[in-house]
Amino acid sequence: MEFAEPSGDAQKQRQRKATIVTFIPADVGLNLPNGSAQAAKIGIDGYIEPQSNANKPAFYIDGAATAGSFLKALPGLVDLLGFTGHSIDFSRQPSGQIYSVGLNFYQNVTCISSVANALCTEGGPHATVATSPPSGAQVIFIGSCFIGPEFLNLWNPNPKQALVVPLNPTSSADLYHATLYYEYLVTDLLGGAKLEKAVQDASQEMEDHGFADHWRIIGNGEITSP
Amino acid sequence: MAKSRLLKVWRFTAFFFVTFMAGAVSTFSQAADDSCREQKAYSVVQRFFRAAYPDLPADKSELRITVSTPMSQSAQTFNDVAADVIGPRYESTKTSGEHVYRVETKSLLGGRFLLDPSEQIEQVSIEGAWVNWNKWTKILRLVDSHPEWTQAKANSALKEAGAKYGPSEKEQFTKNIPVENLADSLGKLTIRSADFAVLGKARKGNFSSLCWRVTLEAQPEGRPGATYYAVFEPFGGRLVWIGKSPPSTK
Repeated sequence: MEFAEPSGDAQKQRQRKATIVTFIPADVGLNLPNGSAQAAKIGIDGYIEPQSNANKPAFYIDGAATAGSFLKALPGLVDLLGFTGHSIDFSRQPSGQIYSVGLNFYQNVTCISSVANALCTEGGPHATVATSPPSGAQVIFIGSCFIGPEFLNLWNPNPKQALVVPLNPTSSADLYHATLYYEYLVTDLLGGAKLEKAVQDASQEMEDHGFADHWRIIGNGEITSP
Repeated sequence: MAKSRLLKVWRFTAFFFVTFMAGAVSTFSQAADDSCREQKAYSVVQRFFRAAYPDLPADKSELRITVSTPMSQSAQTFNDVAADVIGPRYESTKTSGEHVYRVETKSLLGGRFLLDPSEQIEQVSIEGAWVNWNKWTKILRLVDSHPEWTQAKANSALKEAGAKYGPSEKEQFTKNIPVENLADSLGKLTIRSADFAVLGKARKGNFSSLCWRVTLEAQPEGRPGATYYAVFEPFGGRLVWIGKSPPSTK
């Protein structure tokens, strides 16, 4: 009995390409002027598009970046799901220390929060409350402010998944810098680095540029891009 | 330990904005001087804008740059620079019985520059009227709202909207790329490829790009060669983004 010879480049056929989905609901140019969500998309796309081992990246920016579209993308088999945008912040009493409880989507009208709140009330207009939404994404990147335990309650990465977040439980995030960090991270991952190495390299890049932003992995640092 | 100290500094730091508004905002055509850090960043930005957009009304525009650094630290270099080119001032007259004079300014370009530790250009993104930003993003929104459109339909909508450099104008577009001008900022440039971005197969979210993607090889004098990816909008064929590949200082 003879098997038919497979046609085409078998190695190429076997090679799965990375799927990257990115949400940018708000302008990233805040601390300094200039930096719309569209401009951030162009930069990220500009680095991913030429890579042969990535599918055409998907983007949800401005009005298309809603909590609904995020929750729809989340369970999919995505290699990297990125979010760069504002947080939903509470104030701790009596210290007044601000902390994040969730993600704020386009123009404050949709959100994902670990707790119900005035901005994001279950059943309210345009609001979506999600506690530990199911995730199929291997790596979730969040570039957002005041990420501490209350925010992290929202996520339950399994042993094969990881979350990459800024190390900023008591401070805001520079969203433009978060976009740059994401570009370094994605390029390193697509270049074959393990997540842990990519996070270190991207953090080093930030330091080399004189930016004080630091990032960390929660979960599996051994992940590699397909 | 060093990290937590740095974080503490960052946490309590006030941003020190150096905005070149009055004295330091020179006219766009004024020669730059590298004698101090602010002026070095200024001259890198100025040189780039003048090279990428040679038809800007340089003698009637102002270049404003904004940088930020923690108040507690002395700035070693300026790596994150926002820049705006403000167009000619003009007076408008309202004639309803009496004349009302107003002095107005018009922003032509807004850019964000990422400079590497030696203050060379690593990445630039540009928005504003001079790069047909509103026309371009309007057609992108239109195409994104029609996931059922074919590539051909999107191309014809682009043409109808007035784009000069659609996918069939490759020759005219590539002739228009300011490679010689940009050599002053990036080194001698060679175009490796120029392709019009096609629509994504998955018609979800913001799937349209409708732009020219260009890969450039740069050979700067006295520095190692580099590859740059660039994006040009289709209405006037103007540069809207350029980034060094890989986006790394190494």
